[in-house]
Amino acid sequence: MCQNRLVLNLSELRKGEKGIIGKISRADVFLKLLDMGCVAGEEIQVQFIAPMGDPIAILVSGYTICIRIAEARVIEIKKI
Amino acid sequence: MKREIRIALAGNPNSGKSTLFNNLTGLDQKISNYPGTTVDLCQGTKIVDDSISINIIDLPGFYSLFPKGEDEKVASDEMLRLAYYEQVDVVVYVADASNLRRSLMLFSQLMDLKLPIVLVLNMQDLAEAKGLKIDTAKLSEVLGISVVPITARKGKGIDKLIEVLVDKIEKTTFTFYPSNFFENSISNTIQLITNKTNVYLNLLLSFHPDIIQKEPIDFSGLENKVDYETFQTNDTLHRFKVIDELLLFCTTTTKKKSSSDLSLKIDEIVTHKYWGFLIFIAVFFLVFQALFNLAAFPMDWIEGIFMWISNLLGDVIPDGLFNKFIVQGLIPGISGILVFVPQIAILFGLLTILEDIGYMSRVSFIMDKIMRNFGLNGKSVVPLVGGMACAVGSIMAARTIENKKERLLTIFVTPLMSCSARLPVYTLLISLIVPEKNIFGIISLQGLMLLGMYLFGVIATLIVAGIVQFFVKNDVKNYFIMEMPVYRVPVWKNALATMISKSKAFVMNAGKIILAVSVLLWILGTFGPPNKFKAIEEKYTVRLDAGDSDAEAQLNAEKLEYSYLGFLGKGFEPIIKPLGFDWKIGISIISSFVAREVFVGTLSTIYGLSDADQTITLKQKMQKDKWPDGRPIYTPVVALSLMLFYAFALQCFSTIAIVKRETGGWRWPIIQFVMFSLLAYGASFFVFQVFG
Repeated sequence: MCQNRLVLNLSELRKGEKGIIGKISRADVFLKLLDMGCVAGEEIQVQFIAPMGDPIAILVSGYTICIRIAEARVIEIKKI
Repeated sequence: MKREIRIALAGNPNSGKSTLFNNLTGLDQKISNYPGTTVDLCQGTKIVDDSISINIIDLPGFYSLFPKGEDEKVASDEMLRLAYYEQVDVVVYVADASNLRRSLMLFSQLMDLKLPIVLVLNMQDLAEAKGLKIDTAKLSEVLGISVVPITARKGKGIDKLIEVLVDKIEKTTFTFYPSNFFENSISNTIQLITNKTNVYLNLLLSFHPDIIQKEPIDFSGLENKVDYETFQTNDTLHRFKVIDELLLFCTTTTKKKSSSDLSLKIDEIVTHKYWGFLIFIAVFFLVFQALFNLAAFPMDWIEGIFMWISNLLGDVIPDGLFNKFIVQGLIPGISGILVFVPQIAILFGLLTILEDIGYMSRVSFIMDKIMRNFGLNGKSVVPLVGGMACAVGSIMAARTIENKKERLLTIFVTPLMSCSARLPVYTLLISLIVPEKNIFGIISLQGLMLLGMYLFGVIATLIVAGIVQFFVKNDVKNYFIMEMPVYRVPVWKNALATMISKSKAFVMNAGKIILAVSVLLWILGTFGPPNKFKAIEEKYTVRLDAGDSDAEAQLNAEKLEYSYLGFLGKGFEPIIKPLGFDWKIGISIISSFVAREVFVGTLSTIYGLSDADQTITLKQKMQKDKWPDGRPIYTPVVALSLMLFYAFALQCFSTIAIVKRETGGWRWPIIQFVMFSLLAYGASFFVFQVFG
């Protein structure tokens, strides 16, 4: 796996890693996150991960939301 | 003249809306149906002084006027309705000041509906800890409305809010949404249809024509409609842009330290690989220990008080039918209802506290992966755990699940969790077959058996969900995205408010049914075909006159057997005999199809009629009871068979009614009823035939 890629999926971020949200390729996930202000350009950080590795909790503009790995896969992330 | 101000509370989930509601209304609240709809709303009243009172409705938390789940739709529809009918004096928008940007998005939508609105900035303490300073005066000036900073948990700023609400609410011209955003042709056409001048309201109405129920708006003439998703995207992104400018102008951030540091540390442990599940199990073990240990005392008091009243009234009222009716029919009926109140109050109180401190959302988080295997969702945990208190309220809590399939499955299986109405049934039956002994000195055997029945309920719930999931069609919306609030110290008033309102609802709803059933049973059990009754009485006259002490008990037993109730039970007996049940159990089962807790009440009424000896308890009467051939009725296998029957059977009118309402038809409650009845019969049949 190429670890120094610049663009990856949210599901590939490890605990504590940060990134900037890019394209979200599923309409239902995009619209739900849109309501919560979690849109392209926002900085996010993986905060903690559920005991069985799924779902994950991410920090977006000061609050925490949790999301399944399956949905995290459709969220493009620019790593920082 | 008395002035009544109608206000509606709106805001995002976790914005502290309910805390503000409890703070404003105190403990005088009621849950009611909104006229013309099936929506449950929390209502309360704040008396300001002799001439002014404020009527408050609390809506479910939501994120936008483009609802994703059922609970959001309830709130969003209500907002459109209030704007359309202009039925509200003030909308109090509760914003989480520590998440201002997101909170203001929905606020901006409501403002553009031209609702009279007051902006409340809640959680000032959290915002300050984050280093965020909000210039409320400036914000108020720009928006042209009142802005009130409060900290609802500490009761700060509430007085100021009330002052503002009593004052005249200013109309503002500020809009977030440019009215020329859409082609005039479309908005003009819609305007002609709705007769409303507000472009934003018109556009939203054209997506939800069904919410205006009195005179549904006919949008069929509307060609080239605006695309819903495009509209939503443009609308929301535009709003965030305006909000960002607004925040730049009205707020300053002094230090960038996250207030959720402590929260994060707690989450490291609570969501830990191993500790996470251990804590989950420990928390619920403690909840159930507290439930049984704490509730035991008030339950004893209630029983004692009723025993005393019963003896008193029995002596005071002259002997006869009326005396019997009070002592054997009415009082056991009422005491049978009230004795549950402590347990229900404590369970709901504890669940509210867990929700309040933010633990329930962590439970959803760590359980999601496991629940998914059974076609459920992390959010299903809340209704399922709540199902241990009462399925009725919990089924409504499933509204937060956006995925239709997962929501339906959650609704379907929640009644299999051991609810508090099964508790008295289990308690009575366990006391018949399990000795009152402790192992290792502290763990009670009876308690262990009860825990076993609860576990059985959980396993049955998951297995049924796991099977039924293959028969429900998938939903397009399939995600688990949920906000996790920071941990907070619980607000005791919130727990107390829930305890009181749930107990009140229980006594009023279940109480009426149980009382009616008790009275009906007493009548059916006291009267029978007059000729037959006369013959029985004549048979015993000689022995009674001779002072035979057994004669009266035998007379009562025989009378009951030939009463109308006895005939009914005897007719039913062949069906339940393969399960090991006699006609008395049969009557109790039939009557408890209304509500499970009726079972114990029915048995007490029946045994009270047949065995007038008031010095021995129901348990002792049941242990004495025998089949005509002399075998005891309540063997361990029969008790187990009966408990399994109650574990599965859908014996609760309220649950059936709520499932019908929440799934929008009779289909699912019927499937549920048939399936659970078959499971109940099958499990009982198996146990009695194999081990009996």
